Amino acid sequence: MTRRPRSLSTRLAAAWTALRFRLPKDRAAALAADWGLLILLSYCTYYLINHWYRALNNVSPVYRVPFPNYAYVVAAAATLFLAVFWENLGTSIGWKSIGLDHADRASRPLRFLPRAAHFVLDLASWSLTALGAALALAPLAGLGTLLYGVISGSGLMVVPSVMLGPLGPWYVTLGWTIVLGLALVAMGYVSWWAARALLSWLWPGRRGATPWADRAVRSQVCKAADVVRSGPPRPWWRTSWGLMTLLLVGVGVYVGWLTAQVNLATLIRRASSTGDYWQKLVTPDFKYFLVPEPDLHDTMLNGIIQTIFMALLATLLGFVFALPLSFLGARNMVTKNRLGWGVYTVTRAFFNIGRSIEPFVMAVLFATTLGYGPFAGCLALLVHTVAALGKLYSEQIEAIDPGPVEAITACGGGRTQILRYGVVPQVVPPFLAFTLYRWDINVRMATIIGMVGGGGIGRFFNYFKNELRWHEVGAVIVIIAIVVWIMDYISGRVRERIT
Amino acid sequence: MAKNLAARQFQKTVRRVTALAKRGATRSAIFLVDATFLAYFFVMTSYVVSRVVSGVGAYLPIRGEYVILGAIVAAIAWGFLGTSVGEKVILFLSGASRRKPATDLEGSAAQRRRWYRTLWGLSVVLAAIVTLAAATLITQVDFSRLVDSLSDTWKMIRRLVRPDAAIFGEVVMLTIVTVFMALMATLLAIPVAVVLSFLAARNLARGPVGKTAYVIVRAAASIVRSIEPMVWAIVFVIWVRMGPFAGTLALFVCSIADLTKLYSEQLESIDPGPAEAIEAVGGRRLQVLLYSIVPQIINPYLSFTLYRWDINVRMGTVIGMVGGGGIGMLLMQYVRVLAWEQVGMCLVAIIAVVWSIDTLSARLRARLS
Repeated sequence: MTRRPRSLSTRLAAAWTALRFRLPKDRAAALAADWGLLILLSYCTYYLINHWYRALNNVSPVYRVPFPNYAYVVAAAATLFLAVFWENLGTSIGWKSIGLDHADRASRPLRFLPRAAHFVLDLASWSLTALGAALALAPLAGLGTLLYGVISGSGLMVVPSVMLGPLGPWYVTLGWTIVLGLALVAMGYVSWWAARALLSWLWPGRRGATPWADRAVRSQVCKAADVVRSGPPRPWWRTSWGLMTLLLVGVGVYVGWLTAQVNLATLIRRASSTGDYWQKLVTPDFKYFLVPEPDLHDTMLNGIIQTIFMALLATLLGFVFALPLSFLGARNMVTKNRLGWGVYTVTRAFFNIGRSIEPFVMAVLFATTLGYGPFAGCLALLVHTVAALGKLYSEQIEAIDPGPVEAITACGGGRTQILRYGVVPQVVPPFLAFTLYRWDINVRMATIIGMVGGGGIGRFFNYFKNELRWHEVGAVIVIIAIVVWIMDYISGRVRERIT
Repeated sequence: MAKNLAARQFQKTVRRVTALAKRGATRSAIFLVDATFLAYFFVMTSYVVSRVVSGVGAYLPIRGEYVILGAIVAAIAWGFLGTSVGEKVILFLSGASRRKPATDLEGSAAQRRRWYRTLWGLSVVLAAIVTLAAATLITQVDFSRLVDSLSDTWKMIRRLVRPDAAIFGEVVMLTIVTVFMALMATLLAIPVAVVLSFLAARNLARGPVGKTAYVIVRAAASIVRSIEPMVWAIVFVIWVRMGPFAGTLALFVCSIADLTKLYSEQLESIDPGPAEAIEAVGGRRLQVLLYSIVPQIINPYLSFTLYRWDINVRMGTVIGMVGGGGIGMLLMQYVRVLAWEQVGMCLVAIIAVVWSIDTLSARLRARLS
């Protein structure tokens, strides 16, 4: 019996699959959490050192105790060190929250020496993991820089001109960029292989395989509840995670109190000195509700109508744009191949970035370039709405029951038929509910967007506030509250019926 | 026997009157919706027409009283003409449209008219078209302005995506201030909201005092919630002057109102079984609270609080733009002088902090529920 000679590609493919790895996501998340908490603690310490130094020595209130620049790097490294230490020699908050614990092969708690050894190995394995990630991601970062150079257009391509100086006419630069890009792709493959080799050694991907550090000290990671302990468990205030939580909350509240400049004395003292202002604010003057304001040439009624229609238009257009985008951002719709993954990632990134910037900020940007007015406010709301609705929609599409889709596929239905009869009927009611909800939020947002040049009732608010006409400001606030309350009520009732 | 009969007769009459009154309420609700719809349609049409014809939009070409009168008459007439919009809306809201009629008196479904060939369907379509036209006119949609400012916008975006790293330290410090502002507002709001939520839960409000407290707290919470944190921030800026304290107070007030609503809704949906069981074995009020109510609400409460913290961070990033301290203040300073590279740096910080706290809070909430 002779073995069939294998081709190079088969061998490569076999080697590739042998280098499988499985990163323990929960352990990584726990480490990130612990590290983050320790960084928070060290920031609080830094803040308090500055605070107390200023309090004890007669220096300016913005004085900062000088630390050398490398102190930040040292602090980052030390907190990582401490986090790993904490995870191995005690029960950290991160490990407590993922519900895992170290144990030996017989599920008894680890003794001190193996624990200490495991700490050293754990430190090494996480550092090597970071190295692996850097190896895998470095070429991507290079490509990103290249693309960024192209997009931001600072000189046609940023990388060649920085690395090699001016290269002559544009086609030479373009050529070099292509060459560099190809080189980066080649490098990417090589370093991706290296990263896989390293990671598959540290975190083997075979079923039931133990990570390197656990293998070396013959320990295992199991559920905290499954560890066989002698004696009753410690009360939570005698565990390291409990004490640390107390410390963090205490220090956090203290530093928060100082950072937010909470000052109850001012609050009480100025409550009486601003009495006139309160008195004016609670006696609203609705004179300009129907009569045009002489300086703004408009009535408040027109302002609030403008606000509602801004929100309406932004919601409708947002619906129109978000609908197709949400299918591109749904994992079960597009991620059949590499291209699909790319589309998915880009769409999701747009959703997340768009959602992160409040419409208020966007309104500032649009008002500056487009000029003040409701159109700028409407566009600002639109961008935010597309992102927010897109995310909600695509999550809904991801949560559909795959049964009908499979049934239509099995009967030989085409793509359009799958969409029309398998997906759409399942998502229409939630989509309508989300859209109504969004309209509600948009009205809320639209009331204030005028404060930065977005038109609507907010324009009146800003104007009266700047003129210190508090009676009118009170009226605007009452109008806003009534309209928002009505919208909230209606949308709540209708949503109740739909879902 | 006779008395019994009279009593039965009386009950029958009461039932009939109640049914009549109910039908009357439904009919008048339908009439109100119809009249509002017609008046709205008229007002918007006249706005669009006058705006297109003369350039100045007028909602009321005739006296308002006539419009109201006309709408009333037309709504009454519509009630006789067939299915009106109001009927559809009220049926939908009362849930009656869900139930399909057992026997279709007008014939099979195939023979009924399609919705777009009915009077109400047509009027809804017309109203939608008029609304869209009015919305475009009112919000001053102007594509030529969009095209004209394209080069300006492109220049701004190109400067925005090249953030200025020189102000990185300052930005990080102010972002931390923002996060702490949100943290303080949320933490301080928890105890207040927990106490208020017990007053604002319908099932726990007993006696005249309890009922009054329920109504007052609920009303106050819903009024406060209707006013945006930005407006509160301005109120507090005048009270305690500019700075993070004003922003914290604004977020604090809104968090109290929002958390009270969320908490009390959770309290209203608890299972009364355990509380009754503890009362039955002679438990006191405190014991009922500790052993039956608290275990049921602790996880939802935590999850709502995390959600609110997330919103507070989001709001905290912009609250500084009206003087509430934190990263927004810096952003507004740079916007005023059109320093887009610096604005870009602020935006990067905002995106990073909002994104990460959003993800973190979503993950933790998924674990809690």
